Amino acid sequence: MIVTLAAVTLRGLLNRRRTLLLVLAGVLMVGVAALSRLAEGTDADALQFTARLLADFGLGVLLPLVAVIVGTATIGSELEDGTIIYLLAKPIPRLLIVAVKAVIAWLLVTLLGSPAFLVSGVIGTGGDADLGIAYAVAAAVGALEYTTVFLALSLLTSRALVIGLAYVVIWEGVVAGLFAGTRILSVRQHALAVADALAGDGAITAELSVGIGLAMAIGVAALAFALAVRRLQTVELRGDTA
Amino acid sequence: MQASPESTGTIYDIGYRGYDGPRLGRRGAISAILWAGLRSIFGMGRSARSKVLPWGAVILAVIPAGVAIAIKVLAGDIIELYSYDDYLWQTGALLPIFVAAQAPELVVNDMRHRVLPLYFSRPISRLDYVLSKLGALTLALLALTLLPVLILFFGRILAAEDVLGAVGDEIGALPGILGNGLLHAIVLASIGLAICAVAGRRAYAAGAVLALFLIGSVTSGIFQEQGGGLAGVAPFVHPLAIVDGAREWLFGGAVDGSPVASAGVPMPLYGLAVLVILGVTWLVLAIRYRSVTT
Amino acid sequence: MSALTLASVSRWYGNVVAVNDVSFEVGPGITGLLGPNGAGKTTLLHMMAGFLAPSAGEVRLDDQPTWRHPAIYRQVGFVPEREAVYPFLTGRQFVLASARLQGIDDPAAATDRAIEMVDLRDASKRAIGGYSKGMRQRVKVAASLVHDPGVLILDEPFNGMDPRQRLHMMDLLRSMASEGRTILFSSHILEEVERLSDRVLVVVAGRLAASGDFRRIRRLMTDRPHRFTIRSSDDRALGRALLAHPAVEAVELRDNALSVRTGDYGALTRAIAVAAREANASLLELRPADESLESVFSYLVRR
Repeated sequence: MIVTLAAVTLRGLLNRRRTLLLVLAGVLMVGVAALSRLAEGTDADALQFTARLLADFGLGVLLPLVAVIVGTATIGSELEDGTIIYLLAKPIPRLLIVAVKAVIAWLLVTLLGSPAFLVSGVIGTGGDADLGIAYAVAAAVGALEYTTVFLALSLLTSRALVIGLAYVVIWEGVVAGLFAGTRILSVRQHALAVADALAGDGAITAELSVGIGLAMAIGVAALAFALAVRRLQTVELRGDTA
Repeated sequence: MQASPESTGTIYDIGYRGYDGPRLGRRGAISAILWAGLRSIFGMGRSARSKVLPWGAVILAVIPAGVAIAIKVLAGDIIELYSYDDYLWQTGALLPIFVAAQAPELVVNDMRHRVLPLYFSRPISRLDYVLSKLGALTLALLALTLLPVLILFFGRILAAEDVLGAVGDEIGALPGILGNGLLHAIVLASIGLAICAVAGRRAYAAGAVLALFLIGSVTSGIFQEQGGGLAGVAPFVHPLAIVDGAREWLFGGAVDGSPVASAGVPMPLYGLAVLVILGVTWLVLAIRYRSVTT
Repeated sequence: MSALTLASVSRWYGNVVAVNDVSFEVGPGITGLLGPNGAGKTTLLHMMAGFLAPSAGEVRLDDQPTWRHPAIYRQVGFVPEREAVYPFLTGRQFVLASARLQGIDDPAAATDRAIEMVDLRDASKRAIGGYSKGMRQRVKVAASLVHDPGVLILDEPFNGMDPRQRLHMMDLLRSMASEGRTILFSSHILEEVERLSDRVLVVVAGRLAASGDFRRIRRLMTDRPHRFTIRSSDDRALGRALLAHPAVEAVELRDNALSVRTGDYGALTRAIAVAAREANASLLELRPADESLESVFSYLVRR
């Protein structure tokens, strides 16, 4: 049963357009890292640049973008075209449905994202893997938080994609930069805290301690998951032909 | 209708009639689409909710100008909050959000609901249609790129002690203000419309616009900080920076914080880049609207 | 024995009442839910299948409320009206997935059986994305009955089917009903409901306008005149004789037959024989002209 759920979800997610976008995102980051090698500078410069790239571009832009696309589509696309009814018309606990979908979404984002982070880190620093590994793990943590939040969002509104993007642009981009107090609520900061802890004397110092970052990440993910389950249990299917 | 036996009955022809009077022709059609587009962007004729974002954006764009004028009135010339040049750079974040929010509806609805054949069976060519949509979006964006700066301009003049003298001082900046506002509006409208015309759904179009500007802005920030060769590339990955560079080339006046300053790249390149952007986006629009059955 | 019970069920969306105080019970056999578009059929079916909560009243399957009880889907199969099915799966994969998600033993065998029942064996290896509308309907039906449910709910199941497919589906449903299953389907096409269902529920503007055997419903509406078509050896003479009878409201000579309108069905049947003898006419054919569901239906709608 679980295998079937997972298989159907995965095949639904990996249509041509989405797969292309996911691959493009990974290639983009690796490409920028490779581009940076063309610039002159010391190894320390390269380290700092790569750290900045992975933190701002990777964790701040690419990861949330990919997570929004995957997270909102995991249940969202089925809700939109009505095929969710084929999953709901089965004697399966709704919690199981959400759990399988959340795990698949998280795995997809992580398995495509973390290697990109690792490779970019290695290329950017010219062979040093520490930074890449640290950020790859951070990406997994960030992906967990992002995908569950967007999954829950797609059960709350039909405009989850746009709202998710607006969140990334406005909250992560502008607000969190301005007000230090909001950093505790920034997914990027949570992931950054993990990266900082693992990278040791990395070029980026996170604003949050790793304990808080990890706790927040897991807490938010759990909350989003619970919300998603509750919503799926009470979702009403009107059967509109739209 | 029953005719009583006594009266004489007539049956009136109240059926369809053709129209033989004067027609507005092509200009009427273009202006109709343009005004309809403008109204739709600002949510006229729709619920209050659809007015929030566009009007909110305009208000947010104008507020800094208002604040600057207020300060000038209260504190005189001691503090100059914004120069005309960097105003648009500071409020730059609003522009992609506005475009992402309002542009999709302008274009995508017509395609999704297969209304295009209805348009083009009237005396309006593909070019007219695209021009009017582009015109509507550009005019709307002028409310964000030109209006606030003009308010600052007039505010500065009127708040000065010597109004006539102030006119003389400030008037030199006017071409720059107009040009910059227009440049920003046209480039953003072209990019926004091209993306929306290609995207399948409104959500994808909005997402693509936001993604483009987000990635551009972050990447150029990273490159800029790195310095060296990369700083030279920095402006060219961000559309707003390219426009800023073109502004500087045409009208002068550097802006702090813009990657243009640290790029050290010959200025005409920015003008070229703007032309490339316009060329590519207009080409995309031309190709997209050749086929009308979506 | 599975029975679906609705007790004073209403459903509204803000100011719009989609279903208005409906009560009935659906038992074994085929029940047709008939009504024009927008009458609330889909809303009713979705409430019965547990996908929508009633705003008032209760919907139960046997003794369990259908809302928020996923366990009912072991006994219930549902065929939605919306066309969309996973386009990237083949027909067989889709039915197999449904079987697996139902948790039945030997899902593969059940899948084969279900696909045979809907006559989709040849196309089952192709992706659903390339199916015609009728094929898609059939694969939806196959997925809904793969777990051998006691209750089958179908929303406009004959949409998009050609006549041959429709007959096949009707036979399938009849055979399932004869095994004691409860089958409920909706339609706005009168002929389908007339042909297939034992029982009819007529829904108009959210209200239950009539329920039961449609012929009996028709007879209940005695305030509406009945029409008969009579063919005889001498229509004109017979018509003249009938016109003398007080129960006859109108007589019309049309299409080589006599069309008689009467307000008193019983009296007319008695009068015909007498009139025929009087007119020296032999009766060749006597047919009620408006017993069809069509007339019942249009009468209810106009009311």
